[in-house]
Amino acid sequence: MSPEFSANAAVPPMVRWWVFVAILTAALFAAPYFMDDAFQLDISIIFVFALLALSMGFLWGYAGILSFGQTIFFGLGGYSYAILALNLGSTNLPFLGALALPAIFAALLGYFMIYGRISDIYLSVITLVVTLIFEKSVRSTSGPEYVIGSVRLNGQNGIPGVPALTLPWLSEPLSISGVYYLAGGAMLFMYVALRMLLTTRLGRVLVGIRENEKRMELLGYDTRLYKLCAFVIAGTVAALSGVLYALWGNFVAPEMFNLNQAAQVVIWVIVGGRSTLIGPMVGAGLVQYLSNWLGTVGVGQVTLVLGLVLMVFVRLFSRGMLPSIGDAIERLRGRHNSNGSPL
Amino acid sequence: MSEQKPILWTKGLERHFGGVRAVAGVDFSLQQGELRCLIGPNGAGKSTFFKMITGQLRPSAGEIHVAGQSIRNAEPHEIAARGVGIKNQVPDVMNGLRVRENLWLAASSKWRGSKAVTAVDRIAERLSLTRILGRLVGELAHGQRQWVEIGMVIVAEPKIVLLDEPTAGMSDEETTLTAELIREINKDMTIVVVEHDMQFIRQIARMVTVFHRGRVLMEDTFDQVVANPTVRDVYLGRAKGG
Amino acid sequence: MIATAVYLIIYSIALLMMVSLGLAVIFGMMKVINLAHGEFMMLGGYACVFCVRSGVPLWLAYVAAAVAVGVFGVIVERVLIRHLYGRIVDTLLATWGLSLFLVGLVTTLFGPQAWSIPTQFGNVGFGGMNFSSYNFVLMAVSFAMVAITWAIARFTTAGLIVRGTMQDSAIASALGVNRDLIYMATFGYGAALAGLAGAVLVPITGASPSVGLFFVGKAFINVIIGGHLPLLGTVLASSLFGTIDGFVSYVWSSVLGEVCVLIVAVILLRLLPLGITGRFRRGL
Repeated sequence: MSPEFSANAAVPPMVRWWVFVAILTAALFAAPYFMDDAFQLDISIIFVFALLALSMGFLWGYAGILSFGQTIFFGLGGYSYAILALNLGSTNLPFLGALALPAIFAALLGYFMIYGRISDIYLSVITLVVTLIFEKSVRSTSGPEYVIGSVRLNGQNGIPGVPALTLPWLSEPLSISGVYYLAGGAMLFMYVALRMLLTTRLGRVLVGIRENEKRMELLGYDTRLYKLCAFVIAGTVAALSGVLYALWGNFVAPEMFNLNQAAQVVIWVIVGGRSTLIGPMVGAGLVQYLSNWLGTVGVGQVTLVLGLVLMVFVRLFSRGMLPSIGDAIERLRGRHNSNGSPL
Repeated sequence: MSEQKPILWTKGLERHFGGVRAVAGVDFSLQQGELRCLIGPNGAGKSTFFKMITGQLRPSAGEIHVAGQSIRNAEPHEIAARGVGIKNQVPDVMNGLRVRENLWLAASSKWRGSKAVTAVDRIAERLSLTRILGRLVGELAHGQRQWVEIGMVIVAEPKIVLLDEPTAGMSDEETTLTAELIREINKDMTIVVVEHDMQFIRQIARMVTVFHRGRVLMEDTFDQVVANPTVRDVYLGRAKGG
Repeated sequence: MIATAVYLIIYSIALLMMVSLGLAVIFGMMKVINLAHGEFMMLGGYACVFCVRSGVPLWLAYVAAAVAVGVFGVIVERVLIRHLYGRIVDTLLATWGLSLFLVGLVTTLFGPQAWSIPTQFGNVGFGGMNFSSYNFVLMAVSFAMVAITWAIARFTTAGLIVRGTMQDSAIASALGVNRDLIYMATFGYGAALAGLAGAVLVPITGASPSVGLFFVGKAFINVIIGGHLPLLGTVLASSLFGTIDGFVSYVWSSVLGEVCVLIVAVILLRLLPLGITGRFRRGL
């Protein structure tokens, strides 16, 4: 892990970072004037996935928890919104509920794993098992008896016709452009928010725990509480991306819980590198763009490529693509790599 | 030293690992303000004893009290919050973060906001770390890293400071400086030091407790202990039984 | 009724032992959680189908599947796992990548539908219900797997070397044991066990790309709770979870059975963070 990023995380970002964010924001808001609806749809989904990648990047890169289950909250967020919105008719309460319910589940699951002092590896495996259970459970709800309120869960086919969001101060539901702005805005907002979180006491303690949990305990910190906070925060951000996904496509399906989706999240972070917050987001964008470019391929091929990418990256680029490129550039420059310290 | 209750005491403290009795019944008592040294050959149980004080290990039997409260079932962070700090043999710090951040994290467990920041500056000043506050801890020399850890341990002004071989790997000059530092810290905190370096102990010790095979062999002033033939046998491996 | 319940529980235990033993052997030796374990089973299933469709008798197909997957396991160990020893997270990710790759490959080559083989096993009735007599074959194979593994470990020189390396690989190396060879052989053996399990399951579930995913969750939990002794841990954990899962699946549903197993596992890990056999010093 490049110490440059973690070591500087506690310091409020420099002016040039704010300029960078401002430029991104401006570009994001100006872009729809040059894009047709179809293109905006394509970009919106990248925002959604970037947000999901961000949640995992935060949890893994900065809190040090490898969870294969961010998709659980992605799926829960989407399904919660769909079920609540279709039942209640309005969309504001469902939006909030779709964030609250996954957060509660994250708190429960996180509590049992983290306060149970389960070792890191077992924790990762358990998140994988929970993902498997969720996929199987949701997939098996095809029968008409699986109903929540007036909404059938529909098993394999998912829930179509998810209502578009009507923001409280608008009279109309969001259009495609509206979803674009919402997704992009949410992504930027959470990016800035998480970056600022790292400068707060909570964020700095989390990074300390990731560096050396035992030491932090011996300094008097209840590391379990902080890790649980990180797990819930990451789960809520993932849930937000799930809601946005539901708004983007107006449907939710068990694929949101499946292993391919879980693998993609991990791959985004591996490709983008987990030593920065922006890395996983770029990773998500890159992988999505490449997938689109490869065109429609069968599900099997997608899984195959995902697996291949994972194996190759773990074998060859264990620090992620961006940091590895960064290393290579520094070596070319001949500069003494500050990460080359004897850690 | 006033006649008050000891700040740390154990009675019949034991710790077993499978069939091995690493600590086999220790009665130990430490008064506030003491500077005690623990010596004994490797495997005598000193590190295990320390780990039970910090809560990293649960006792298999016996009692252990810190500042008047039993800590038998307390979590490590609870014990630390109650004022027990430990500096391990191998530097145990956050290598990927800067010195300032390491110290801030240590100070922040007790104070918030600007109080934590001033505590960091104060301790950096006291330990001559101000120059290197911006450096990555992983890039420091071994002796510097030891001092950063000592800074982290004492910045939150714990009641008891445990030092496990603080001068391991240090040069003679660094060792002398560390001895001075420990004596100085002792004015505010109770200290227990595990050490092998007799010259170092001579510079700091008043009372010395000798561990052997999981028990306390004897407890006396440095000069008495060093002159004792049984202690010498134990160190040279000639002692029988335990 | 009781006889039915007991039968189902014993069957559950046997099934769980069979699908977990391969994973447990690898975990016990190298502390590697092979996330591709389910896919090794899947490959064994396909190997079995190919053999049977080529006219090979079923029992021989089992053997062929075990051998084929065993060899594949050895290759995987040499090419992938060996370079990642000590890097626990990377091993997890790499074996997960392998798992996805194999599922994707098989789906691409053979399609997602299940392939089945004709079976001539009849039904047996007792307790007022009909059971496929093939279940007895499965139970027999499961107990045989455990017994044979135990026998190899206990009575052969190879087994002794493996046990020694498992206990303390540093000392074993110092005594002249080729640790790389042992790891490779152990990984291959664990893979072979998985392949055999997959083959045995074919008459029941058919061979399909997702068959691994169906069993792998239970296998992971079993091995984690079992602890570091592969045989004793598998037997004990399977007994526990087989009982729970068998009972809950029978009364309610399979998914609920898995959920109960997970909940019990998480609670148990609280009490025994290293699994049931985690504190055991000796044994298999």
